[in-house]
Amino acid sequence: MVKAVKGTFIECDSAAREVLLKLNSKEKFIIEDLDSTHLFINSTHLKRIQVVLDELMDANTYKANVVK
Amino acid sequence: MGFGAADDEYDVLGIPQRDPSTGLFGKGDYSYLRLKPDHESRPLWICPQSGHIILEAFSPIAEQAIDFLIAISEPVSRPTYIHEYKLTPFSLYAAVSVGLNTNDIIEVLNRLSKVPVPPDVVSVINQCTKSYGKVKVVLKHNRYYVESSYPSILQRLLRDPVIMRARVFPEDDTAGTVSKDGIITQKVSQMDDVSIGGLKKPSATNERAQGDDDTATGADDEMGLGGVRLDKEDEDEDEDDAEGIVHAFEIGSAHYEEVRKRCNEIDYPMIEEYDFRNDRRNADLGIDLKPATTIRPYQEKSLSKMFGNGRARSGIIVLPCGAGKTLVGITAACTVKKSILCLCTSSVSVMQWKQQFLQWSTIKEEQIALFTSDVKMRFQGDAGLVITTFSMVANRRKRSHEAQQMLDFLENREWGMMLLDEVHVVPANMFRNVVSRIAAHSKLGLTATLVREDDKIDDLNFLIGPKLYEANWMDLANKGHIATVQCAEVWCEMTPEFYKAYLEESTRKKLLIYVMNPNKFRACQYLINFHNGRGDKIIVFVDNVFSLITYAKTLGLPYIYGGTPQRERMRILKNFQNNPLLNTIFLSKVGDTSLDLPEATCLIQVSSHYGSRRQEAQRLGRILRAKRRNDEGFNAFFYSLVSKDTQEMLYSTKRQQFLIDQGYSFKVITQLEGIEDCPDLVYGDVDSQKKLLHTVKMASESDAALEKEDTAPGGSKDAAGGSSVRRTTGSLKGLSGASNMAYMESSGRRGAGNGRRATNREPVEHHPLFKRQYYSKK
Amino acid sequence: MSHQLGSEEEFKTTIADYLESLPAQFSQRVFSSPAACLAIFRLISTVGKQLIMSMLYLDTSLRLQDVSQWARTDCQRMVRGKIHQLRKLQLVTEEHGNVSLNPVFRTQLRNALTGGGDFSSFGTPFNGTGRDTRITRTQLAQYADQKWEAMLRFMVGRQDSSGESVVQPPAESVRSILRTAKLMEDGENGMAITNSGFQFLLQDTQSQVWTVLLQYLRQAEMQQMDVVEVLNFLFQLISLQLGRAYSAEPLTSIQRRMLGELRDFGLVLQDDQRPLCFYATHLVTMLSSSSSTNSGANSTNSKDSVTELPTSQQGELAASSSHGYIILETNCRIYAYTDSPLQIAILGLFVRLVSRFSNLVTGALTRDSVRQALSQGITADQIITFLTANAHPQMQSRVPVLPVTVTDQIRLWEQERNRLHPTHAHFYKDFAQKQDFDRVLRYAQDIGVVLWASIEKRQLVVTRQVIYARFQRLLLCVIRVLPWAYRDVRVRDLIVR
Repeated sequence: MVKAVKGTFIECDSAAREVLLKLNSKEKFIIEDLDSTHLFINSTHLKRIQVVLDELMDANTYKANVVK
Repeated sequence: MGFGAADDEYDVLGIPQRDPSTGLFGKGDYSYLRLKPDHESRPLWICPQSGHIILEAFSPIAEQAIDFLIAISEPVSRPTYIHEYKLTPFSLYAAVSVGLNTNDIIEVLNRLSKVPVPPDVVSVINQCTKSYGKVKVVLKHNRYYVESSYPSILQRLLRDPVIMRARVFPEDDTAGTVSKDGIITQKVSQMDDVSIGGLKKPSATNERAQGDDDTATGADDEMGLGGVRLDKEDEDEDEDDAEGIVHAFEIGSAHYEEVRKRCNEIDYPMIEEYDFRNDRRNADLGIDLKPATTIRPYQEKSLSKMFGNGRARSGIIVLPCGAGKTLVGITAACTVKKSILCLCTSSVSVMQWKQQFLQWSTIKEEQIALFTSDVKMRFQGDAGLVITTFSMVANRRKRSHEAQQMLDFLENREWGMMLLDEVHVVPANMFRNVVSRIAAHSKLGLTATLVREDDKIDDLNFLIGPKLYEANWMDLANKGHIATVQCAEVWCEMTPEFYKAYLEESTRKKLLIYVMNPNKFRACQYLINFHNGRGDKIIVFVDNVFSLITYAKTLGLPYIYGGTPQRERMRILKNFQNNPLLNTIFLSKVGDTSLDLPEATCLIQVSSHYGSRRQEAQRLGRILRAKRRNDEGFNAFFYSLVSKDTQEMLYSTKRQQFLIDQGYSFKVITQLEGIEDCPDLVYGDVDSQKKLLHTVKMASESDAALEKEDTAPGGSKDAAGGSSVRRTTGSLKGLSGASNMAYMESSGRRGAGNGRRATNREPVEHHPLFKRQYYSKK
Repeated sequence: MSHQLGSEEEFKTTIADYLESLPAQFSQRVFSSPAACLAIFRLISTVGKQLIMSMLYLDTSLRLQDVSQWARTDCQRMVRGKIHQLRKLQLVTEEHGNVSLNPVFRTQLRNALTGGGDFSSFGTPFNGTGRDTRITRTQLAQYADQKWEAMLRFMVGRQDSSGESVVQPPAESVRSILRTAKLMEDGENGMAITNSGFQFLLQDTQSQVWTVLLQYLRQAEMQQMDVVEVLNFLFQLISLQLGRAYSAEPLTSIQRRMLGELRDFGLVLQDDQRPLCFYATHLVTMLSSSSSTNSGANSTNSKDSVTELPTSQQGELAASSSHGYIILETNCRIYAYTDSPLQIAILGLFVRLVSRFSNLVTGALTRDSVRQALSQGITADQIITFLTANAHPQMQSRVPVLPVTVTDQIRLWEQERNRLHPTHAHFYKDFAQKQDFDRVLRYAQDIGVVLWASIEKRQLVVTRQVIYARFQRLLLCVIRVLPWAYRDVRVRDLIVR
C-alpha cells in the first residue's frame, strides 16, 4: 500500500548531490534518491547538510588577506 | 597579523571612545590624525605603524605623486581609482639609492599628504635613510672595497665581527692615504652633473632625456615641491662629499656576499655603483644602439633611474611581461660599454637574447659568446658579451673540461655589468651562488614581478640592489604598450561520476581527475572553436603531461612537452606561426620558459601550477606582447578553466591575486552560451565520459604530477642530464609555486643561507615595521 | 523564512498599493482635498502625469483606443498599462471603452493648480506673535537628521560587554513603529534588529520614510482612527514648504496627535514655545518630488509602477546635495569618504572594515563579510543597490557603475548559500495500481502542488503547504485503502538504503 512521509525536498546540482550521497553513507538522512538532481531527505538533517556543504565550499575557497 | 585579529585582543573599553565607530577598527582607527585645511587638494593618506599609503589616483597631480611613490615605496594594489603602497626598508633603501635624501622624502610626503606624516613613520624613514645610501661597494682592480664618505660609518662597520673578519689590510702599494686603522682615504673625481645627459644613447636621446628632466622639474614645481627634482643627486650633504673625499677598506672577495648580507642586517645596506666612464682598466666594448631603435618613455624612465648620477647603479627594474625588458637590458649594456655577462633562465632565452642584441645594437657576431650545454664559445677581443644560463654557472656538478675552462674564464675577469634576466624565477641558492662567484661592477636584474611565493624577496633584493623602477601594468596597457586583455575564469561543473571519484581519490590523484573533467574538455573545445572563428592564434597550457597528451590527441591538435625533441618543437612552432590552418597548439610548462613562443592572441589554461601567482602573471605576458595591441579596441583573451567544487577553485583565486592587484579583473563565466547545443563537442554522452574516467583511474600517481623539468635533448640538459622526462611529485615548496622553474633545486639547503650565518652576531634593535616583515623568519 | 517573506511583502508595499486598497468612499474623501490631489499627482510617473493633464480640462470622456494611439506603436501597450494603473488608483474611470478622470479628483486637482477651492488643505501659515527668531532651514535639517539618525543608530546599535545598548533609545512612538513594522523585535536585552530591519537600513532615505509613514497609517487603521484624516494630513505635510512656519490651529485632534508623534521621527518640528506652530522637515517635503529622470540601469523599480520613488537619493541625510561617497574597486576593496558613525556601521554590515581616517574609511568585500550579511537576511541585490546608489561621483561615469566582476561575485556568494533549494514536502510511493497513481497525480497537478513526480517509479512529491486534509481525503476516495495507511510513517520505516 501507499506509503507517505513528511520530509524535505531537495533540488541541487550534481556535485552537491554527490557530496550528500557520500555523507549519507555515514549519517543516514536520505529518504529517497529521486533522480540525478533531486533528493528527499529527513527534515531534521537539513541544517547539518547545509553546514557540510558550506564547509566543502569553504575548503575550496582561497581567502585573501585584507590586512596591512 | 591583521587588524581584525588585533580587534579581539584589543581592549575596546580601554580606548577613549571617540564615537560609536571607534571600536570597529581596533588599532586601525587613525581618525585622530588631523586633516590639513586644504586636504582636498592633496592626494594621499599615510597610515601610522604600518607605513601604508593610500592614494587618490584621480587627483590632478596623481601622476607625479605616483612617480614619487614608486621611487620610495612598493605598490600593493593599483586598480582604477585608489592605489595602495607601502613603505618598507627595501623601498626606502631604493629611494635613497636613486638620490632622494631623508628630508626630501619627508617633505614631499608631507606636501602630498592630507594628514601630517605620522611621527613613527618619520622615525622609520629617518632610521632607514640615515644609514642607507652611505655605504658603497666598489670593485676596483679585482678587489672589493667598502667605501663611504663618512669614516665614522666605516669604523662602525669594522667593529662588527663578521666584517672585521672579512677585512683585508691594505698593502704598501695602495693609492691614497692609509690611516692607522687601515682606512684608505682618497680623493675621487667630482660626480658629474646630471644635466650632461643620460648617456643612454648618442645625441638624440640625450636631448630627449634633458627634455624629460625639464618636464620633470616643471611638473615638480606645479606640485609646489620647490624644484625638488626626483632625480637630483644629493650634492650638498656633507663637506667631505663636496670635496670628493671617500674613505674605504678592502674586503676579501670570498667574503663579499657575507659582508653584503651582514651590512643589510645591521641596517647599512651597501649600494653598488660603477663609475664606468672612469674605468681605465677594463677594456671598452664599443657597442651602441642602432639608430633605428626606439625606446619607449617608460623604458627610458627606468634607465634614467639606473644612470641618474652618471654611474651605473645596481638594482632591479620591474616591467610587465611583454613590455620590452630585453631592450632595457641591451640599452644599459650599450651605455656601460664594457664586457657584459648576461644570465638567462634557459638555453632558448640565450638564443633570444643573442638575436635581440644583434637586432637592436651594433654589436657584431664575433663579439658575442654563448655558453650553454651545447655551445662554449669565446669572444674575440678584450671585451665582449657572454650569454649563458644560471644553471651553467651555478651548477656544482662535475663539468666537462671545456665547461670548466669557460667557467674559469668567467670567474677570472671583471665584468662591467651582469644582466640577470627573470631574476625572480631563479631559485634562491642558485642565484646566490652565481652572484658570489662572478666579479661584476654592476648588476641589473630584470623581472616582471617581485612576488615570490617563498617570501625570499628581501635576501635576493639586497643581493642585487634596490628596485630602480616599477611600471604600472594598467598604465602601460592604457597607453598601448602592452595588449589589453580580457581575463575570464570559466567554471566547469564536474560530471557526477568524476566528482564522485574526486571525493574518493587520494590527494595526489585529485589533480588528474579535476583536470580531465569531461566538461572541461568540452569548454576547451568550445573556446577553441569560438576563437578560431575569430582568427585568433590560440595557445592552450596544460601543465600535467598525461592530460596534455590526452587533450591534444582527443582534439587532434599538436602538442609540445618536455619530451618532445627539439626538431619537432621547431616544426610545430614554425607551423603555428606561419600556417593559417594551424591556429591552436597545446603546451606543457615548457612553454613558460623554454620555448621561443610566437605571439598568440588567446590563451587557455587548462591546468597550471597550483597557486603560483608568478606563473599566472608570466603566462598572461605571453599575450601581452601581442602585436595588434595598438589597434583600436583590440583585446587579447586569457581563460582559466577551473573545475567547480574542487581544490582548483582555490588555486585559481590565489593565482589571480597579483594580477588583480595590478588592476585586472577576472570575469566568472558559469555557463558558456549555447554549449549544450553544440553537437560536435567531445564527451557529450555519459558512456564516453565513463570511459574517460576509467582511463584516468588507470593512470599512475606519477602521471598525476606536474611536469617539473624540460629534459628534451637539445633543451636544457644542464641541470639533470639524461633525456627522459623525469617527473616527480611536487615538493612542499613546489606546491606553493616557488620552485617552478625548469630546474631542480640542487642543494638541499633550505632557508636563507642558514649555514652561512656568523655565529656571534650582534643583536640589533629594529622598528616594529621591520621586525614583523623582514626579520621574523630568522 | 516565512517571517522574512511576510515582512518583505509588507515592506514592498508602496503608497500606491495603499491607495489602491482604499474603498471608493474613502478615496473620494481623500480626493476632496486639493493638497492630497496635488501630492498624489506629483508622485505619479511622467507618463501618468501626461495622461492626467490631457484629461484634466476635458469634461467629456475619451476613447481608450484614441488615447493609446497618442503613443508610438511600440509604447501603446505601456500606455494602456498606465491607464489601468490609474484606474486601480481610482483616479480614472473607464466605461464602455471610454476613459475620463474621476470627477472629484479632477475638480480638486484643477483647484490645486489654479489656486481655487479650499486651500486650507495646503496648510495655514502661522501668523503668531512672539519671538522673532524663526527657525532656519539649517536648524530644521539638523533637527530632522538628528532624530532620524537616532532611530537608525538605535537599530544598528551595538551592545557593549554588559549587553547594554550603547545608543540612546528613541521615543516610544518610534519604537512602537519599529516593532509593528517588524524592523525590530523585543528580546532579552531590549530591542534587537530583525532581518527586515537590516534590509531597511540599506535603503535610501525616501523609501525608509515611506515605510515609516505607511506603517503609521496601518497602525492608525488598527487603532480605528479615521484613515482619511490621517492620509490627508500626510499629503498636506508632503506639500508644505520647507522652512515655513505653519499653524496647527485648523487641525483636527487626530491630526494634532499625529504632529506630536511624527516629530519623534524628525518628520516635523514643533516649536515648544509655541505649540501651535510647526514646520515640516526635508524628510517629508522631499517625498513630493519624483525625479523621473532616474529610471534606467540603476532604478530599483523593476516593474512599471505608477509611483516612482527617486532612487538616486543616497542614505546620507544631508538636506542639501546628495552625492555618493563609496568607491568600490575591481579587487573588492572599498573606500568610503565618510565620518558618520551611522554610515560606517551600515557599511560594517557587509564590509570588512580595515582602517579609518577622519574623512575616509577603508575596507574590503570579502566572502566572509558578505556571507555574514547574507545570513542576516540582507540580499545580494540590496547590497548592490546600496553601493550603486551611494557610489562616489568618480564612479558614476561608468556603465554600469559598479565593476561587473564584483557584483557577479556578490551574487555568486549568495547562490552558494542556496544550493539545495529545500522545500518542506510530502513523499508518496508504492502505488499498487497504475491508474490510482495517475488519478492522484492528475489531481495534484490540477491543484498545482506537484514538486516532482515519476510515472515510471510511481512516486510523487507534493508541497506541504497543501491543505493536507483535503489531499488525504482524496487519496482515501481514490485509492480506497484503509485509513490507517495514511498516518505519517516513521522515517526509519521508510529508509531503503
